[in-house]
Amino acid sequence: MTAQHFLLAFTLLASTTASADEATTTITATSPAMAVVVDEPAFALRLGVDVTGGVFFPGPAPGAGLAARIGVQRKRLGLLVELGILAGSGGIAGGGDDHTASGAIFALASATPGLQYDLGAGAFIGAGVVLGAGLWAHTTDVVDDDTVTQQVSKSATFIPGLDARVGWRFGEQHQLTLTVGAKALASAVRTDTVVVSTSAAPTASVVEGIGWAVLPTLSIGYDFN
Amino acid sequence: MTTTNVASSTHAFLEDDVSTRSLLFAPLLLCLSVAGCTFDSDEQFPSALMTTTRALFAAVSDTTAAEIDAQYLDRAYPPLPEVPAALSDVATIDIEEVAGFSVWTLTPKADASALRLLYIHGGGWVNELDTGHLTMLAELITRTGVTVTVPIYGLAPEHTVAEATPFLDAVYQRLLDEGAADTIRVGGDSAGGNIALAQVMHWRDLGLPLPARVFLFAPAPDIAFADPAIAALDPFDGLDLDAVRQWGHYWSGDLDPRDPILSPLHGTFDDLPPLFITVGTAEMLFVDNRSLAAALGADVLLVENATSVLPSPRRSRHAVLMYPGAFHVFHLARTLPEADDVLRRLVEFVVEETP
Repeated sequence: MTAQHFLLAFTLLASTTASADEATTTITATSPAMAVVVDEPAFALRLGVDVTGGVFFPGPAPGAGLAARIGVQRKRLGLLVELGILAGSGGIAGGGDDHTASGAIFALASATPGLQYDLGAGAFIGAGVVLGAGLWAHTTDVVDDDTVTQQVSKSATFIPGLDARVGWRFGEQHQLTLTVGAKALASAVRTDTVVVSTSAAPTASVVEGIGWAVLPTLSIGYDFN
Repeated sequence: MTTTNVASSTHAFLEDDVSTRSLLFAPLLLCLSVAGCTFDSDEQFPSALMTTTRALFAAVSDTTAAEIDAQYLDRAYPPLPEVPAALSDVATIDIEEVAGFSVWTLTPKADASALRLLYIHGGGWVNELDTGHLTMLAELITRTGVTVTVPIYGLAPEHTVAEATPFLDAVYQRLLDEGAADTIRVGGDSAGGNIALAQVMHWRDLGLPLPARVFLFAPAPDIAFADPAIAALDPFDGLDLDAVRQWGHYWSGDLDPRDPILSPLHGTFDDLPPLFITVGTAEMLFVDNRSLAAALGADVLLVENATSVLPSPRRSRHAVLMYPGAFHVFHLARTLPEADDVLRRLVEFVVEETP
């Protein structure tokens, strides 16, 4: 085996095991006789999993979920699809003359194709399009004297949106990840409002339109690459 | 500030229809048990836990009458529940047969009082007594020393009101034979509240001595759910309007739904013992209970917190307590602060001396 052959074999092996940063490096061998430039492989496979916590607004409703991602990476740029589930519930009540209480529940299964860019030093940013299915429902009650104004909003099943994130790789082989992100979600929403009192018949109204929700998230993950 | 987990408060709701809803929400409840929590900055009602649980109900898909028929008309008859430790710890349970149906008697193991309670369970006329009822009764036994009689009436659609009325007449007559009427209380929830009120009015019409007090958790005053305003609250309720109408239709059998034995709202309210009624403002039954309160001339209280009190002096023998934002039979969800509040008020009513 010549020095050239050895160098080529080493390069191919390295391309399947190196981290993303390493995979983008052009390996140049020099010898007194010649300089050899070997191209890196076109793409590196990326696989990973995340455990995610988040807070859904309107709510606030804390939630938790799991995600898996698969994609390819060339140099610093990755093209990934994340498949995840996220669900939660919660509410808040406050005092005052007009007592208000609200609560929310959400459950989202989503596929998020997106791009990820390595900034170096383990940091990365990403963005994607959320193709979600699930539901969210939000209730609000306002109590004022003998009257209670009750409102409930319920989303449609299709919940699209946008996802943005920034993260860091850490650990000995940069296989652990910590990611801060946010999803902006939209869906067709029906909102029912009814005003009830101890002394009069209920009055009701219905509004249908587009509703928005925001879901900041914090994920801890593992890259298998 | 208090925090509470949501998942446990959904227990009573899920027990209404375990076979479908628990399957539907099992994955969701798993997440909720980990993540769901609420924050209350004061002790006003509704609590955050109440509104959050209602958000879960809002997510439930509506059912149609045809789906209800498919679910109930060819079903296996529902089994009786396991006795929860909360009850077996405080009471002995004797089961007898009266007029062809079972009757459970729950006798306090300690500190029994002279009070006796005939409790008619709810479940939409189609669902059996469940552990939520028994757990609540265990709490009532502990706090009052009352001996509880629970008639296991035949459920619709296999049975109708025509079979329940003579059975409950026989059970009540037995209580009258065993002691004075002024030691008797009658209670019920939801469909059981409907049956309890209808039976007390029926016993009045028969000229029988009446129980000293009657309490009803979210009773169904009109089995036809005919008031058009009810539909406005359907999106807020874990129950479905088409479903309850169909269940009521099963229970009615051949009787006119306006018969007071089915729909006490269409009866007369003279000479009734004091009634204590609770209802949530976020349930469909709020509409008919508000009408019932007006027909009774009852004192009405919107219970905004634990210190809310009825007018003093009271104008009426009857009281209707409306809990803001509360869902149907919330008293069975023992983690709710509202459930604690209603039980405390109920205990005062049950043990109160007859005026």
